[in-house]
Amino acid sequence: MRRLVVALLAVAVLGAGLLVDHAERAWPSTRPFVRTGTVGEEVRLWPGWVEVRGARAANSYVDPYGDEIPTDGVWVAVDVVLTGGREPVGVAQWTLEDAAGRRFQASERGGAYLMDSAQPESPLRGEIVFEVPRDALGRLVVRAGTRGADDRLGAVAAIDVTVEEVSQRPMTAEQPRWEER
Amino acid sequence: MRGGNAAKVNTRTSATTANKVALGLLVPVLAAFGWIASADLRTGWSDDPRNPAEPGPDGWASIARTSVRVAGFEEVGTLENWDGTPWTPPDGYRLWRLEVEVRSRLTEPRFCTVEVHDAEGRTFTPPGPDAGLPETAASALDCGSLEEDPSLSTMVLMPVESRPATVRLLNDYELAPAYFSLPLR
Repeated sequence: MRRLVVALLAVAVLGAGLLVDHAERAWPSTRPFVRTGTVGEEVRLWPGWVEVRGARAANSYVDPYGDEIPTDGVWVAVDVVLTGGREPVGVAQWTLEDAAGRRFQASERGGAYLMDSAQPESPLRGEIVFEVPRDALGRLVVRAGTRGADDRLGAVAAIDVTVEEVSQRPMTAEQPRWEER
Repeated sequence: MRGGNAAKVNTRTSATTANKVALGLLVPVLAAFGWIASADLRTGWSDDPRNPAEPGPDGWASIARTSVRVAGFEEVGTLENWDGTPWTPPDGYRLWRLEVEVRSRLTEPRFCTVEVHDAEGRTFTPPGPDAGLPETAASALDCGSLEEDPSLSTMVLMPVESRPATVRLLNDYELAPAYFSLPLR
């Protein structure tokens, strides 16, 4: 009888531990600070701002050296402007979320640019490139996060953008450049 | 009856002694608990750069065995692109080149991140490699024993109306809470 009680208690302790572990991942008590917006709107991404000016898709992507990078899906280039606040803003991760909730990280294939910081009053404009399956196109959400994959307690700007047409012409991403003031 | 009272008095006396012992233990236990629980807070506070080392009359600012001074802070008109063509800052901006001089009795190299603060209190850092400058702007400079090819120069791009006021050299691990704070004249 005593052994049975000890075994039951051990199972109960392990079960409680697993439940707590699952709960922390499935229903986290901390979330990112998300600001939402649409195309053409400056969205707060503390300590700066991010704006999506538009997005386009193409079947092929040409890297800065002129080489075509193949894909089984499509390439999406998102035109963004990143601006610092009182201090530089840092973006740890750009992701694209489709209507099904799938999230795709910005591609670094082919030397695509990743705009990871911008200075105060110095808007930096460029295109972030994503490689996504064809069925991901439609209503998308561009997410810029200051804390990377684990964005809890970080700032996130989530901006709606729609991309439906796919160009047959190879796409070249715009290199980041400072907007004239 | 008397025996019963004596027993009550004894019980009270022993209870009072036990309370005193428990109270005596409670205080150091609570103090130890508070010390352990506040570790993150104390560490975070101590790492916060809040003790600026400012230059003396000779222009050198010193922390422990290292001294640093601003050797130059000049506006850069043009740079050269990789194909030899000139690169000029975009309209509305000025590009500044910072040069520092370091004297150190350390035997190990040490690096400090660079912040330039303007008169309005805004913070600027050297632009990253994706920002399109034809030359790399180092995000950190030597601030210890100098290496064979020391990094003593970097650049910052600032809006034209921005007036550079101070440069800070920071190292959260080896210098904090101290940091070098050098005025730009």
